[in-house]
Parts: sequence; C-alpha cells; structure tokens
Amino acid sequence: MPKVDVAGAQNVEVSKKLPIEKTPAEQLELMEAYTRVHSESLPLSKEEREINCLRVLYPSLFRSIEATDWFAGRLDFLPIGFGSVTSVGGVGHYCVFDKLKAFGEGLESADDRARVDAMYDYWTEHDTKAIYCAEVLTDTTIGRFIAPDFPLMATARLSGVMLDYATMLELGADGMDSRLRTRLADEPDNQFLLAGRAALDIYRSVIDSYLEKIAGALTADLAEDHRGRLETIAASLRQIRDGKAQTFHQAIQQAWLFALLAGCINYGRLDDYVGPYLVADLKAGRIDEQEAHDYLVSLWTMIENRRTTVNGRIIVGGYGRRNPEAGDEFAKLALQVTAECKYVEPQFTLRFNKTTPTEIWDAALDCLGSGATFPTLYNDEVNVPAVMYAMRVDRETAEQYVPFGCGEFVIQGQSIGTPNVLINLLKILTITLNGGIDPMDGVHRAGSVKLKDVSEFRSFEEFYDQYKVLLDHFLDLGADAQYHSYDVMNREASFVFGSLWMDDCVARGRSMLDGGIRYLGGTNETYGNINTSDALYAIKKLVFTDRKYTLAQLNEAACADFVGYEALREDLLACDKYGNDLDDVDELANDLYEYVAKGNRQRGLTRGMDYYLIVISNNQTNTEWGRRTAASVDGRSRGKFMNPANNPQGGADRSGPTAMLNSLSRFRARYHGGSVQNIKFTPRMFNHQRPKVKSLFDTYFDRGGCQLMVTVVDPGILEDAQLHPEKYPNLIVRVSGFSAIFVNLDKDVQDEVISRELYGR
Amino acid sequence: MTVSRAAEASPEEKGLVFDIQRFSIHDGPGIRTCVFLKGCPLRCAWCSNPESQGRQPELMWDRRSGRSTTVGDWMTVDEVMAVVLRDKDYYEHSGGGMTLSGGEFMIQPEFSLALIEAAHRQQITVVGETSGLAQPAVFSSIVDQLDFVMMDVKHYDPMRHVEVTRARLPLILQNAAYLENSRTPHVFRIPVIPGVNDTPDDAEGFAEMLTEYGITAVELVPFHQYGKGKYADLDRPYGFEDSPSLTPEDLTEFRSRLESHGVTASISD
Repeated sequence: MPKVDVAGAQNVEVSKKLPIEKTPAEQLELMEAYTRVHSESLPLSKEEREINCLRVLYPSLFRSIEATDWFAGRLDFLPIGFGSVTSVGGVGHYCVFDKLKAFGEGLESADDRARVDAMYDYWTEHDTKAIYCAEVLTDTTIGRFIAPDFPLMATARLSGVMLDYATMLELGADGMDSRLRTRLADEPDNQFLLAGRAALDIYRSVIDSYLEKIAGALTADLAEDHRGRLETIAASLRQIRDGKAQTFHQAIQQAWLFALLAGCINYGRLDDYVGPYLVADLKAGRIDEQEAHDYLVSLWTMIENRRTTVNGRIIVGGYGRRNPEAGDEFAKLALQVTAECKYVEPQFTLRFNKTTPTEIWDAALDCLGSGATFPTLYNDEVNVPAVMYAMRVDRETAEQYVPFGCGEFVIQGQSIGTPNVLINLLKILTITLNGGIDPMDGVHRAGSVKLKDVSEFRSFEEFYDQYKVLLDHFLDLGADAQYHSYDVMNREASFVFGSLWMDDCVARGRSMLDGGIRYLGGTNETYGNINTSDALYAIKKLVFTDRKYTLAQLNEAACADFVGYEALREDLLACDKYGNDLDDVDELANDLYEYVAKGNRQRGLTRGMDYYLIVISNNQTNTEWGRRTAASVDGRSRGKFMNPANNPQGGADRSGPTAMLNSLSRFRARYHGGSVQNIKFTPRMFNHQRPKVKSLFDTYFDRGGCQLMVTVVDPGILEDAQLHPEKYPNLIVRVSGFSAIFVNLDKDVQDEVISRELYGR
Repeated sequence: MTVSRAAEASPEEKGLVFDIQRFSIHDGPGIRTCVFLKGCPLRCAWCSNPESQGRQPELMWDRRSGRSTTVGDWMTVDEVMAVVLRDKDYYEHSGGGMTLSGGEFMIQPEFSLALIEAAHRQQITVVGETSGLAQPAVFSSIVDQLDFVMMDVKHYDPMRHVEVTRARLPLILQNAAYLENSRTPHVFRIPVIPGVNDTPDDAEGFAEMLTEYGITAVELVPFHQYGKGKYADLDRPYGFEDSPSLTPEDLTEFRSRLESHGVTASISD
C-alpha cells in the first residue's frame, strides 16, 4: 500500500477563516465527544451514526449573531466533524489532520496534547478521505489533492451540491416531515427516511437554540436598530421552525440554515427562489428597498465570512426560471449590493440570454467596470444546448444548470458533479517524451504503459498517438478514482441534510450516493491544456515539418531547462501559439481538447455515471502544479506556472482580444462541464470604450463563447501591489475560477495573473 | 502620376505593411482592424510610429524577443484580407471595419485602392487615416472610394509646417479643401504637440486657416508618448523625450480659443 500523507494541505485556501468562537478547551471536548460518539456508533447503520454525530455538532457549533447581522446562522467547524466539502471542514466524518496537529501544538498541557494524539490516531483509520486515499492512491501515478508531483490527483469530496431551495421553501420543515412520514408508511424501517426526520429535529434544535440566544440578548440594553434586527430574526425563526417561509426575510433565513446544515457552500438560483418573496414584500409594504438592500448586504457578508476561497456561488438570470420578472428585480438589487460590497465571495454569477433586460446587462458591466470582478458571465444560448448533450438531459432540465466552485456545472437540486480527479496533461507529455520518467524528479510515472524512445518517432502522428496511449491510461485511472470516491463516501455516510433536498432521494428512500440522486455526474479538472497543445504544435512544426531539430534535441533542451539552448528556446517561443486566432494551432488545441473530453466522458458512462465531464476551470492549481512540472517544449521553463484554464499562456497571445476570443470560442461547449475564460482590461478601455467592449462581448458570445470572467484594473497597479502590498488591502482580481484579494496570493500566482494580457494599456 | 484602377491591380501585387492591428478602437467608428502601410512623405518630429516612415523594410530591435526583427512585410491583398476577415463578425456588431493608416497609406495608391475594393466586396467599410500629403489626383481618387476619412492638420503656418514635418503645407490644404467639399464623411484632426502647436495663439491660427477653407469642426488629439521607446529600438534620436503626454483637460483652453473663432472642437480620449 502506498504511503499516504494524510496531513498535507487539502484545498486552496487563500482567504483565511475567522477564529473559532469556542475556547480551545471547549473545542477539544467537542471533538472528543464527536470521536467517542462516532466510535460508539460504529456498530449502527451509517444513517444512525451520522445523526448521532451531527447531534454533537449542532447546535453547539453555531456562533452568536453579530450585532450587524440580519440573519441567524454563523457556523464554525473544527478539525474533526462532519461535512461535504474540504473548504469548510472535510467530507463525511472527517479529520483535517494538519489542522488538528496545529491545534494540538497550541495546547499547553501535555495531557491535552495526548488527547489530541489519540484522536489523530483514531481518525487515520476513520476519516473518509484517508480511507479513500488508502484505497486509491499509488506510489507513482495517483497522488492526493494537493500532491503536485503526480500526473493525476484524486480526492473524495462532495463539492457543488446545490439544493432544491425552491422545494424547500414550498414545503418547509413540516411539509418535508409529512413527506417523509408518508414514505415511511410504506417502508417503516428505511434508515435514510428515519434519519431525514431526525435531521429535521436537529434543524429545529438549532432554531430553538438561536431563539434562546436572542431572548437572552434582548434583555440587555441594545441600540434600537440592533434590537429591531434581533426581533425580525426571532420572528422569522419562529415561523420557519415548522412552517413555510412567508416573507423575503424568512425565505433567506430558511435557505441559509439548511445550506449551513447540509455543508453547502453554493447557494443556487437565489433570484428565482427568493425573488417572488422580495416582490411580494415590497408590494405589500412589509419592507422597503432599503431594508431589502440591507438584508442582502448582511447575507453577502455572512457568505464572505465563510471564506471558502473558491465557492460561494449565487446565480441569477437565465432560462428556466419560474419567476423571471421577480428574479430580475432581485438581480438588480443584488448587482447593486455586489458592486457596493466588493467582496471576493459570494461569487456572483449572471446567466444571460437574448431576453436578458438591457438594464441588467448594463448594470452587470458597470459592476465589472467598478473592479468587482463580478458577475461572472454565462451564456445560456450556448450552455443550455451544451448541457443537454453533455449531461444527456432534456432542455427543461438543462435550463437548471448552475456553475459552482471554479465553474463546474451541475443541475440544481438534481445532480452531483464534484471534481474528484485532476489531470495534468502537460506533465503527461513530459513523461511521454522521457520514456515514462518524469524529468521533474526522475521517477517513473507511466504505470504499466510501455513507451518508445524519443528517437523512434517517424512522424508527428506517431508521437501524438504515443502521447494518447499514456493519456488514455491516466483517463482510465481517473474515471476509476472518481467512481470509487462515491463508493467510499457512500459507505461512510448518507449526507442526510443534503439528500433531503435533492431529487429523488426522498422519493426513492435513498441518500444521494446510495442511488438517490437523479443524475450521478462527476468532473475531471484538466490542467496545462494549452501548454500541451502549443508544445505539440512546436513538435509538429519544428521537428516534422521544418525539420529544424530532432525530437530528441527539443527534449534534451527542455530537460536542461533550456540552459545552453537559448536559441532553440527562442525558436520554440517564436512558434505560433494558441490565442492568436491561427487555424493550425487552434485546431490542434481543439483536437487535443476533444480527445481528452470525449475520452473522459465515455469512460464515465461506461462505469455507470450519468455524466462525467472534463472541466477547464482551474483555481490556482495551474500555478501549484506548474511548480512541479518540468520545462515543456512550448518554451515554458521548469517550475513555471501553466496556462490558466483554456486561456493562452500569459504573453503568448499578441493579437488583441478579438483574436484571443476567437481562439477561445473554438472549443465546442457540449464536450465539457464548464470552462472559464479570463480577460483583463484597463478601466480606460472597459469604461470609456464601453460600446465597443459590449460589441466585443456580444460578438464573442454570438460566435459560441460560453463564458467570461473580467478583471478591470489600471496598468501597473498589480506590479505596484507586489512591491507595496500595504497600499492595496482591497484590490480584487479574478484568478481563474475564483476571485481573491491580490496581495493574499502567492507570489507566483500573482505573477501568473500579471502575465495575462491587459487590454487597453 | 497616374493611378491604375483597382481592378487592374494584380492579385500578386504586394504592398509594404508594417503592422495589422486588430481590435483597433481609436481609428474610426466601431471595432476595426487597422492596416498600417509603410512609408510616409512627412517626418513629424513627434511621430509615434517612426518605424512607419521609411519606404523599405528596416531592422528594429524587438524588446519582447530580445532580437532584431525586420519591420515591414510585402503582403498581397489576399494576405491582408485574410487577417481582416477574421473579425468580420465584430465589425458587423459594432459598425466597424477596416482602417488604412500608416505611414501615409496613400503613398501606395494602387495597393490601397485594391484593399478598399476587396473590403467593399466583403461589405466591410474602410476608413482612411491620412496626413493629406499626396498628389491631388491620388488623393481624390482614394477619398472618393473611402467610407470615412480622418485627416490630420499639423500646423497653420507654412514655414513652421516645413520645420516640424519637413513637408509643405499648400498641397495638404488643397487636399483638405477637396475633402471638405467631397461626399465622403470625414473629420479633421489636430495633433496637439507641446512646443509645436499647443498655445491658445496657435489655436487662433488654426481657426483662421480652417475657416478660410470652410472647415468649422475638428477633433483634438492630445500628444502621447506611445512612440518613445521605438526611437531607441531604431537607434534614432527623439526630440520629445522630456515632453509630457497631454490629457484632454490640458486642451481645454486650446479648445475654447478655437471655438471662440468659429471652429467647434472635440477632444479624443
């Protein structure tokens, strides 16, 4: 069995979490209680075990209401607990080993540290991800997320679950309980349904606990507005404890509490499910616009404070809304709040189509022009038909697509699409060129695949085919690893809270991963796409067309990181590159894209997933993985960041934005499950030449562009922020699938963002 | 000099092009592709494209690659159009098209006319950016084919004009008069250059000259330093090293003076 490093960092964490409210002693007790209950519940069903464990956590881990909060529901998480995603805790019954270790090291008493050590040992056997890693990872080919020495990384997580919030608001707790009771009449011993009822009791206990906290707080001498907020919250909590939400405030409050309990960090089509409550409240005079605005500022702040770095999606607009007019009212208000707050989360997302009101489109561009990096823009005219094909669903279903995290699509309330596998296409190319050895560290990483020596290839096609053989091997490993993550997670947990609000779990009496979810999907994040296709193009041109070098010479130069081969490297860099609207290079990029995307998809279908798609939607892993990827024959040096998503390598596109966007829109959206495109403008161009920028965007989208993410920043500012970070505490950039405060990023991630072309200098 | 008709320009005929810039947004309406032809009869001391002046390809240091490269490619009409056509969708959306610039594109009249005709065949509009220095027959035959013309006027004093551009003013004015009376929509532009033509008195001088030719509206283009680095790359002296770029605000008084003398002025960003 490979040695698994359980204690490495498990996710991208740029935004630092708020300190936990409980004292270290209380935290220790809580984690011990959790561990004890878990251990004692091992003989029970996984559903009973989950509920018993959740009762330890909730309501205990809910924090106090902050004085400025308009809603109840701030949730801490500990190094041990239960969750769905690694951004807030971990998946299933989890232990975040590095954080537990750090926690232990912070304790003064040796006895307490020993208590921590005992838990640490227990969880190495029981942490869901540790179990998965032990079963799936290998010594040389599949590493953990994040272990950038490997060509493939795999993890267990249940990312991007977007609950069916509309049904939640329609039913309320009592409505769901009655649904569960009806189902239990047929299957009285169904453990999942029983656990569902118990989960609703936990939900009520959280509300009761908050009502108590509020009652206590109201006895003190409070400012009038603070008192007013607490009274509003209390009234809403009383209503939604059992009944349905009846006001805008209650609707948000209910969705928020269930999202927290389910471990969800993406909030779906908020405009559609709360818009009607907003409009009704405004019409009836129950609230005015100012109050609605204040609610959203508070909600945005509470989302920001969860600090997931790469999640926090809120989606507005697009096809398939039941309440488009009310949704648009909400969207306008939300855009205003987004521009005002300038937070890195929520990741505010606009789906648009040809019926999107001009007013909303203009407000979206104004918001971007203010430097907010939001909304991210999703073109329904392309994405809806693409999702129909990609996920094999009808139009009505496809209209409910939503991007989560860095941009992977799921069907709201109906599908799971967690990216549990990540593949480095460029590393696999460097391994192919070296007979299976990774030139980065000299380790053989080709598994059982036999590769020819670099001197043996007689044509470009022969070499490309060889690369594809190794690629196939890793796509196989990846599809197995993805599918296996569901087995392990399902073995360990039911994810009851999430399953309650996902089709068709209650109807089938089965939790999400136990056959309950309507569409069991999945995604594979691909990296280095463009470096790889540019490198392949350079091989094709310089070796097999121009015959200027042999393949061995190119490889030798790359293995030397081009030291002593400067002229050869110049030739590599001077080769045509993707991003300049050049047919030859773009076609090769597309050919590679389709090969990987189709191969990946087919492997998922064969293994029984409803869909399994690549996503080209990297967070900052392009940089982190680049650090451990050898020099490549596109001219990229050893350890340098790889290209972001499917954008060109920074500096490689020299033909302006129309050319870059033409290259980008070449990839047909139907083969991927989300692909993000970054573009950077100066305010001078974006704001002063707005009609031309609008035309640029409109044309790109008409030509099949699926998505855009826009950073608007003055020239020289990012460079200056590297030198004087103290001057730029609030400068936001779009990294790729997430936005961040620029100065919080690692230096080479900053460099990567800077390297991208800035239009309008 | 006779101008052969575009239809007679053979497809193999090549023009000397020093750059093709896509998403060009300061060279006429909408999103445009600007085709810069090499060669210019003027030698404006502040020129931001000094590599555009010579009529032959020339060596220039390319800082990006750290090598010297040749500026100027002999290209056929089809080769130029292949690039221009890549962005046709963007032109249609934005009311843009192709712009011919330079250098002075009219220095290659046959090639220019052939490009205009090729663009028109594809329903692409063509804007010309000109110094106005060309034989009147050439000037009029090209202007008549263009959809829009942007013509620079650099000085009002004939002596000073020769000093700062090494070209004579009268021919330019003759062409300006033709343009003003032609059916082709157009704009006259004054590049406002520190120490050359930027005082309020200069504005008055411009106004007097322009109104004499019936020209009552201009666009002011503030001096910028975009070309600064190129002189070093070409190993040529540059007299405006220390001149500050001007902002639209700097031209407020200049504009007022023009307007008080009967010429309305806008200031380009």
